[in-house]
Amino acid sequence: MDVPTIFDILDRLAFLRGMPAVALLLAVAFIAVVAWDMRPAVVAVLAHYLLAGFLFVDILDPRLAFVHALAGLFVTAILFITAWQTNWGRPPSGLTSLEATRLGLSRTRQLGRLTVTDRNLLRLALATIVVLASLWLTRSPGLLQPVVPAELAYLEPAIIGLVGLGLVGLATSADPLPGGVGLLIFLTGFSLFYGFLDQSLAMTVALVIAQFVVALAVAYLAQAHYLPADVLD
Amino acid sequence: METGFPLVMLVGPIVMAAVALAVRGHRRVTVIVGVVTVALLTMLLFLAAPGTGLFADNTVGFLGREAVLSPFVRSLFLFIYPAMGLIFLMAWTRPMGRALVPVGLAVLSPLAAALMITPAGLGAVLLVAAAAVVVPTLHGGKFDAVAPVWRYFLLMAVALAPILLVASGSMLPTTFPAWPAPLLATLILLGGFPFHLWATTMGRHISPIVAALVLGLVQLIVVVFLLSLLDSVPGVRAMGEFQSAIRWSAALTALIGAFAMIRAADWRGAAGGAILLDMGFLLPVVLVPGTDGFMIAIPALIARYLALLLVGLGAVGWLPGRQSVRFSRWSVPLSPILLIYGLLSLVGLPLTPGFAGRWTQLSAVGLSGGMWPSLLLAFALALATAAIIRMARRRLAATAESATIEGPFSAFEVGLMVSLAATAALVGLFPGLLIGLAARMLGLG
Repeated sequence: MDVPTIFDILDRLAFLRGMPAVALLLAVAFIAVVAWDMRPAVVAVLAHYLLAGFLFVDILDPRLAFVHALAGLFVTAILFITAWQTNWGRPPSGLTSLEATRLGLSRTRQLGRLTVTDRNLLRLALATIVVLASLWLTRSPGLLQPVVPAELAYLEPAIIGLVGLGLVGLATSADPLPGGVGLLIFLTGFSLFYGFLDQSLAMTVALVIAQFVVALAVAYLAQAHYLPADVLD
Repeated sequence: METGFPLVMLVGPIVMAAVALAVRGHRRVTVIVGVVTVALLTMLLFLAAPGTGLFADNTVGFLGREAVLSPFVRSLFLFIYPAMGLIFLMAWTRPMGRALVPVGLAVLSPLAAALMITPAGLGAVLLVAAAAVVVPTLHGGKFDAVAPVWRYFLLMAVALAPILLVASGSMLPTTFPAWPAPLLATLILLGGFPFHLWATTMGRHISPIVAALVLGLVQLIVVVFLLSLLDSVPGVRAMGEFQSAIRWSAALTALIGAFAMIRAADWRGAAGGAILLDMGFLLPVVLVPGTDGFMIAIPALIARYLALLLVGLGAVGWLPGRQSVRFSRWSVPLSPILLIYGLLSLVGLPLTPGFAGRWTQLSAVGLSGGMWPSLLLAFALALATAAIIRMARRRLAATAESATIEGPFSAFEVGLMVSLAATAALVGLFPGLLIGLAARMLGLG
């Protein structure tokens, strides 16, 4: 049996190219940012890298787009192991209010069967606004027109949505893990935009390296936030 | 890949960082590895002078791009390497965290690459890598340091976007406004208001010696990178929006720092506030184009490095019964004096190393700008000075009560304290020394 090439895979998934990929990408990025349990968040991060890879095909050489998606797999693996080691982002049980404050946990409230924090609600509200604003852009493209060509205008909601969702994620969390997910989504959105300005191999590799560096720093700090210091030393 | 001399600067520190990491259980062995490495690098760099013929090529290729060791970068690293060695020596007598030496060595590589490689976009990614490398030593095993360290790293990573936009300025259409990206890059990289959130908290939680590494030496490279980047978009500095945003951000950052010093209950809080104040004063440097900007920034950052070392050495003696050193018949409260002098230097008062850059920074704010930012900066200086005087009176009174106790400092520590104090005093008496050093680095002296 022949191993399918990148181009075979792209042909088979041609139905996803363009607007469907943008809509799905925004949906998974939304989940990655608002999910307070890291299990769905990590799955959403992986899906966001794969879908972003489809969009990169329209901007870069398909082989470089594949490198982006492949790097995303490794970044997700780093996040997965970190999230697993830190109990999927859940705080230790039985914390006193003083300990909860020291851990930077905000006040929780009961919504039916769900227990959410004020910070989660703020993130949900802001992320919803960003997604709605990005979808509204599909009706009137051209905001990034000088850089993004008219025939690829469907990428504008993806760029603005990812950058916006990323900023929401990183600004509304003091914890390195969810904040890091926001930072990675922000960098993906920016890389999509920057792909129109510089398609060189050096810059593509550099941006992939930046994602790795961010993932490693997030992993270190997330563990520092959760594990005793001597484990890290 | 070609084999030019920059390869030594890029690979050497990484290899030796791995060696230092392997022996990190033995503190003094790690220090020896660090000091010997930077001494060797300094010697090799000294020998790599252009025209000597000892090293044939001052360039190295990477993915089709070129890293060039310019005379300015060479001069800069002839200062950075020994300065890093001095930081390593601080770990000889007392623990400064196991990661200090490996991190200090490893960070030299991306920092050198960031200045040598073109285009600046690649340099920006290397600065993010450098910020990631210093994370373990900034954290230093302290739980409370996680949040400010995360904010620091987060902002350095976010700064990648505006830096890349500035670096690709010629590719951006003219319909895009020119000033927001350079402004964001400047405010984030220099920790100006409203991106100063990490500074005071981090200043409180990290050791001043680590601060001298990250906010002194690493920041020196970051500022040189930023000034070179802004020189590539010359029109931006002349824009009114850019100028007023920088001036007001500088004034607000310095004011927040000064208020933090007034509210500080201990020396750590005062040091955090003083660092923020100094960061505020550094911002107006970006308004001065070309070598004039470097001539203000380099002395200011070398002074910050010296001041943080003084604070670090002074803080060592902040433990009960360790304040005084006996010289013959006199008992000198050396630690409190070093600490207070270091804080005064961070504020930039006359007769301290910080004075060299302070007044040129103030005039950069006042130059063709409004009166209010300059007045607010001067007010911040007055507040900070009052805070230090209040702290000094309290501290020296407490020291006088326990001055009869013999200071249990080792001879090495006392030697380090006295030589650093002498150097700082000399630079404080003759501010032209730092300015002359900067001029020599820039090839003007």
